[in-house]
Amino acid sequence: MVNVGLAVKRTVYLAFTCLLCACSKPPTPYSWDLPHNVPPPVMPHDNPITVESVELGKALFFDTALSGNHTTSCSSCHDPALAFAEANKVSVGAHGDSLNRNALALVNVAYNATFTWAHNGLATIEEQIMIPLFNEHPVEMGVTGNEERILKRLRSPAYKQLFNAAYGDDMPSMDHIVKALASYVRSLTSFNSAFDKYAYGGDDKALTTQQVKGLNLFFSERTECFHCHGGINLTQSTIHAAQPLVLRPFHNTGLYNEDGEGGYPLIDTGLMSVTHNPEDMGKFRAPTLRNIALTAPYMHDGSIASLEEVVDFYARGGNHREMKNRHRSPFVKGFVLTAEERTALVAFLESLTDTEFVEKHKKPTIL
Amino acid sequence: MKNVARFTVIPALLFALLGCAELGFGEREPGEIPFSLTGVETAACPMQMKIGESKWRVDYFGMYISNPAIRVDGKWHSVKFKQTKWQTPTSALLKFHTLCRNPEEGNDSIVLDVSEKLLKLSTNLRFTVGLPFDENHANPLTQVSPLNDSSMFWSWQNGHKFLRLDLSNTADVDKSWSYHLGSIGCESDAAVRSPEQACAFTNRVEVILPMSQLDYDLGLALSVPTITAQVNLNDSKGCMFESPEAQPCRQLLKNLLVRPWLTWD
Repeated sequence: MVNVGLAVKRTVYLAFTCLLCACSKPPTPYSWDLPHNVPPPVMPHDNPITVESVELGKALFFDTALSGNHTTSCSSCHDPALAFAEANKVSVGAHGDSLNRNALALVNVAYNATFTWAHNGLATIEEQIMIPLFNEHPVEMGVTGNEERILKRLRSPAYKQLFNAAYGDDMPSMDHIVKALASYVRSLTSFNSAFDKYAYGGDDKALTTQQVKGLNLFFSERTECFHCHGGINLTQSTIHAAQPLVLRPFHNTGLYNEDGEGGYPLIDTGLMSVTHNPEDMGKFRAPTLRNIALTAPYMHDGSIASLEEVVDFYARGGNHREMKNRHRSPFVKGFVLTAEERTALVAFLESLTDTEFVEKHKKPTIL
Repeated sequence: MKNVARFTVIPALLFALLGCAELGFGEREPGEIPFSLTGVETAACPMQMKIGESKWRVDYFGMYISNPAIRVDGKWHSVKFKQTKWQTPTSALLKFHTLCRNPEEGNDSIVLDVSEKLLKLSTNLRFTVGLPFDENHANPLTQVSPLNDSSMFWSWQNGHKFLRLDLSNTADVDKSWSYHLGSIGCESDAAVRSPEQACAFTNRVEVILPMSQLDYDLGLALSVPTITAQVNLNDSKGCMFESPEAQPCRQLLKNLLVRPWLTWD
């Protein structure tokens, strides 16, 4: 009897120890699945990416519970089938308010030197995420004033488990929500297009002859495309572990010229609306061109419908070329393409689509 | 057991009553400075204000003030706020529009952590409308109350609104007007420069008020129409500092700097 009692004690003790171990199991460091030519992104010290934080962020990203009125999720404007961009010209918030801008694709955002279409005051994705969550003018997700209601929705057993696994605390908090969303968005890396296979994988058959022709045009001084859309992420606005220097170039492409001085419509003056420096009139960040064929319509306000029209826009040197525009980037100087070359350039842009990325990041089942 | 309970409850009750008697119902605590709104119908709920022929509903009115100081014998002395859910030692949030419906969700006074004696010796009170740079730009989700009040977040500017006044026309609910004041044009990469230089417009307003030994326990009167003086609310949607140097932002900021919007009551 004594031995049986001892065995029971030992079993209980072991079970208790195991339980403690399970509770205190640290999150699993996230393993970046990157090609040899791509360095890892720079990570913030206060939000290390883990397998568990990515998993929680993914669940939250697709969940309408995160909006005040339970109607809208991050994926409402960032559709994974469209490389996390949207087909609408501009986004519409949870209360039906139209925003000024087209939702950016969420592709390699971990490598962004700046966030949103035009902002030099946001150092991290975490800071950017605060905008769609808490903005009230216009309302985007409508979290402000609804925090308790939202947190209550996230107290299901499934979410409790996810929060606990990610942050050792099963009670949801807005800070952990933002951190998890940032981790998930950082995990959306895309470096496996036909272009990558051709350029970095050494696979000569990955691109068609037409696409190679387009590639050569893209990286030529004739079109100047690569000056703003160069580097591993096909945007100058890139930062990574091997290049921590913060480059934050913004450009006025000449999309508008309201006053013959390069002025943009007052509804959106780009970087100037943030810096209040007149020199920043109409300047926007060059977005990545990875998966660009999936993210129509184009430009900050979704005002250009197709890639062909974007090529035509740059070929004519921006809009209102006949008017003076001191803000227009010197790289937008216009060029002449034959119909065949135009088609080749668009074919090259289409080779930047990473089908594996789209396949991998399909909308999950909601918790 | 009954006696024990009686002996415990009665002294507690007496103590509580004495405590109340000492403070007095509705009386202020040492260092407390109440704010009362003028030019606003505070009896209405929500509050309303008449400007010209139009009546406007006050949907939101709140502001942060920080870095309080008093002047004694000609020298400024920094003082602290008593720490409550409305105050950190350096910053306080005043929030008026919620007072009529949910008084516990509003705050119309500040409480300085100073003795009555020192307050009596003071000849000036000084504070800033706004938040210090570090508190303004730290992660608001992990800050203590009242810095974590999301209705004062200004995420687009990666900071807080220092002052927020949202009005809507009572005759036309679609007509709204907002004044959001805060630091703007703040760059994120501040390592290469001092923080204050990192903002193109800091938009903090310093307030200095006279004090005297006789009137040390006065309250402050805050005139909302003075804040919006010489601004036609029907002409624009207000000022959220998209264009700081354009009207009505220029006039609104000028009002805070030169007009007597805050006076002893």
